Amino acid sequence: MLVNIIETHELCYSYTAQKNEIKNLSLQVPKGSVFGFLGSNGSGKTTTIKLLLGLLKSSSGQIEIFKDDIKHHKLKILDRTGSLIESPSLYNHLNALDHLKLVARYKGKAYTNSKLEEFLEIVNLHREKMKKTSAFSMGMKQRLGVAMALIGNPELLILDEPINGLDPVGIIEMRNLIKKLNSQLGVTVFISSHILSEIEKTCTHLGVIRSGEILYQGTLADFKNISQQNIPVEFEISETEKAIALVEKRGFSAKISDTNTLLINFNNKEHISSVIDALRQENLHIYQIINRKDMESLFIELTQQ
Amino acid sequence: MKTVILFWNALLNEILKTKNAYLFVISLAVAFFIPAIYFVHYIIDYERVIPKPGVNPWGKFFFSQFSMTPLLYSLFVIVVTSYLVQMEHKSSALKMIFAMPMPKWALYFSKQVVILCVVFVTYLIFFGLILCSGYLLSAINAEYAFHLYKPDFKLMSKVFLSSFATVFGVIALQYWISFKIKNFLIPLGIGLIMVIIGIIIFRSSRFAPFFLYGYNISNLTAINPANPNTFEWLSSFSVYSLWYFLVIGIVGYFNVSKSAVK
Repeated sequence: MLVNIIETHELCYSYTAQKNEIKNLSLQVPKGSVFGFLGSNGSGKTTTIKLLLGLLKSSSGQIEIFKDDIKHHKLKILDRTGSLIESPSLYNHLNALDHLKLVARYKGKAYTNSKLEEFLEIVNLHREKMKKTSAFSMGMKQRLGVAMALIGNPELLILDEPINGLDPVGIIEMRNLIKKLNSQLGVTVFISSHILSEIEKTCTHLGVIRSGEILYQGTLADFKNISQQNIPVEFEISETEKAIALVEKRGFSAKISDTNTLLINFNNKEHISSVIDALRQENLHIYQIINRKDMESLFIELTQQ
Repeated sequence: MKTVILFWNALLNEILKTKNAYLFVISLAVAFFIPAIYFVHYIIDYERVIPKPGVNPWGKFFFSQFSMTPLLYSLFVIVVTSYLVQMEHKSSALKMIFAMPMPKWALYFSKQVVILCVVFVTYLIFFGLILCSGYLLSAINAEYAFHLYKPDFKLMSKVFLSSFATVFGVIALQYWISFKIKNFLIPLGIGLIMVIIGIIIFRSSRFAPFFLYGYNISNLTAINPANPNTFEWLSSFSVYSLWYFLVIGIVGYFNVSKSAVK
């Protein structure tokens, strides 16, 4: 049975009396997972993270991390947790090593410089240890933020939008780093993001939030398998008029979505191959088949309902 | 013991954060400002400032410089406090710091201790420079006679301590305001206006004891070089300031610790 490292029960929070930013949020993050917390901008991701870290006090509900209540064991929980909230908090006049020293002292760790440099090595910043962070690129800042979060070897890493502002190379590096931390060091990683493709590439589990409400949580594989009743598949085909008649005769709804492109809605993925066979029997040429029921459309379907 | 270590770690971090900052340049500039002006004044107005035979030149030299401090040092305290807290706002560091396994009291008060240390050191350098410049003047021209007499160290220490104590209340209040208001200029502006009001109302025996921004200048009036034993070590204004420091410090801490880090 999976042990949950984070559990929230009916969590509520509001910045103002008029609006509830977080509504009865019950979240379960399994130990050892890379949990993607997905939602559009303003959906309540950062607020949830701030609640998890005790930066905000919930109006009702309960937060348990490592099976301890955040209200009563905050410092004990934070001692086992590393975090990066929004953009990294860096002092422009200090160098990378100074930042690690700061965090190590706040965490009560008497690390030597060489030990601290090991954390810089993990994020590939050891050559920049004496460089002031004012001279850092956005990607370097994000990586340093992760290194700071790793001080004290936390069992749980909470990263809020870690790929924000990163270039494609930086995104790949960050993705690999998260995977490495999870697989090699056994760190449970909780990542918030509004970029679905990143969550898809990095996470094992997923939570979808909209307007402070959790819409879905579970494994990524389960998420992909939901909503099998409606699978839109695009066929790039030689004779669309002939194909549409053939497909409709077999009881599927279809429409021409573009020149030479037919969009067919299936209610079961088993039917896709039978349609392909039928089209080929009529000697129609199929150039490309795209399953439009990707995570993006699922996400949009969920969050825009 | 654990409490002491926690506070010590927080304090070391606050000291580390001042590395490469312009803080010490500002402190040195403030500490040098008045003694440098007086040094030049004594060189230029040589004939007017040479003491009469048998007169200890230290008293006049020290008190005339000290009387210039209230405006400069009050503003310095406000700038230093706002600057050090602004460092956290500018780096959006409060969310990171308050997510550390460190009690909030250690985080809040460690920076305040650093501010007090910076102001203390600046005062100390200022007083050291007064002494050095006096002896240097005598080395240039023996007629200044600083080398012939001893400064009244007890009186100087008394002035030093009471003056330093008068800024405690201002530090606690400015610190709290700077913590609550992210904009650098607003706490600075509030402090500046308050200091000006303090300079205006310090003569009022009715209001002066209540207005902490005027304590520094009010403290001056309480010190009489002719009768140095008016009070033992701290003037009544210094004591009021320490009370304000205690109360505002505690109220400010509870307010900040209960506030959400947005």
